Amino acid sequence: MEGYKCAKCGRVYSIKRAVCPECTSREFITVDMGEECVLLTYTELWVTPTGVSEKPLRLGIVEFPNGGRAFGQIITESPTIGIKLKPVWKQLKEEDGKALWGFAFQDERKGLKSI
Amino acid sequence: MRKVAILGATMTKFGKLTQGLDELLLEPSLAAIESSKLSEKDLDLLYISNMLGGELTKQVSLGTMLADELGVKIGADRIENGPAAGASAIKDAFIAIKSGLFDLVLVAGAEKMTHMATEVISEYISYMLHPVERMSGATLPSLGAMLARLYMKQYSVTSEDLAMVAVKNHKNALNNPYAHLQKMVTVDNLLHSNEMEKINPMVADPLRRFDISPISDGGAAVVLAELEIAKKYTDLPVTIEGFGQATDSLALHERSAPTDINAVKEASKQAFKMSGISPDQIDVAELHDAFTILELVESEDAGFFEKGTAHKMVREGQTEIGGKLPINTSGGLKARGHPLGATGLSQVVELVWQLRGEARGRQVPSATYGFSVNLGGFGSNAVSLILKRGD
Repeated sequence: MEGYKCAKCGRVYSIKRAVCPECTSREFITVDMGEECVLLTYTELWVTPTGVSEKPLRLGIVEFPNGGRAFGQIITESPTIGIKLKPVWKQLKEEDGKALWGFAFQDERKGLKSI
Repeated sequence: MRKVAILGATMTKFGKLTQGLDELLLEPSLAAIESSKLSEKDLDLLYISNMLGGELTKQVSLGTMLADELGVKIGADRIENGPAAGASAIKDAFIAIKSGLFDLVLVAGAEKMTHMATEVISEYISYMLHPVERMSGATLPSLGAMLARLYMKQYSVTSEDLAMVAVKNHKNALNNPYAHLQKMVTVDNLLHSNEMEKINPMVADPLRRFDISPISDGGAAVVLAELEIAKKYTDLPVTIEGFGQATDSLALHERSAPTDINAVKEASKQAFKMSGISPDQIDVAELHDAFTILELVESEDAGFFEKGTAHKMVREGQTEIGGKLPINTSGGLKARGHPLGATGLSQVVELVWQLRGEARGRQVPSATYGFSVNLGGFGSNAVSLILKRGD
């Protein structure tokens, strides 16, 4: 998974930006976010949006060792703040008949049934 | 220095209504003009607050439509700032009058929602979110839930604490004939009854149905005037002492502390600075409780309570009528209802009624200063207003 590091202040973003909100620099370096991130907060969504098949849909915010954060679907049966997750490429949603793919975050602990 | 006052301020009942969007704008506008003792021809500018007119009712150009229905040919614009359109439109009217270019401005806001299926409405509402978060399936309640989980863990806040906010706001709404949900609820029947999963199911863990504001139809309108002109029409002008507005990252995950709403902090700080008063001088507040958790967070971030203590204030009854700072005397978004474009205006209408001593059955005794926060997006845009009873 790629991220974008501000060339001036070093803050890392998972979303591409034109201007760094921290320092207004317009220069970014593409970086690899790594294979492991930590779950900061999450929800289990029971009233799910159109185009999503999972129910409950687990969503969360994760943080990578480089300080960059991302938002996404959490693939686990037992979400807990602080667990380690791995970015995986997945179909997230279907919108207007088109499949939307992006990164989700998978729990790789042993003993958990994979979904 | 010119000051800005409010003359007429009124709203329709909120709820599942038979009126269309045009009527929800027109009815309160006519009433507000009449109660201001003005004629339509006295107005020199018009703002509409509305979020989803095109998507839900196939109608835009709402400014033109209302001007035409009122028989005037003045400048008219629709202001869109998600569910904060109402306070944004008041802000723009305030600036217009303050600038000296306009003297009498009508602000009307409405939303027609209940004729559409909930999932369709939720989809349109989620258009406010960052596309990357929405692509993963984010909805407004899911973001509220993520904030709630972190906040509850950090400050030892329980589901009972959240339910107490809903209980208080439902209780206030019982005395507000304009409220959508006039139904008494208790923490026991929301969280400890056998029927809990039926009446209060989980929507976005830890938020249940009663932590979330309803989908409502409704309209509201406010006439603003330069203070000296206003005094010709009323003995009870309410002045707008200050406003503030700020934005934050559209994406929740990019905010430095997802438990805080920095846009509320910044907007409120600006409003207090402009009005020259401090939070402890506020007598009554209308906060944007689209989710119960938001009332707690906003009451802290606006400067009323220390971070992490708002739930204790609710437990002690400090935010009830009769407490230190009554919050959402109208019932708030939770029980008065939440017709997006009308919400910010209905907050101002409630404050005007409170400051004029007209909030029958839920009056805060001798209130001088009122405060509101109206949120656009999920805390990504906040507008704070400070109102004062006229001398």
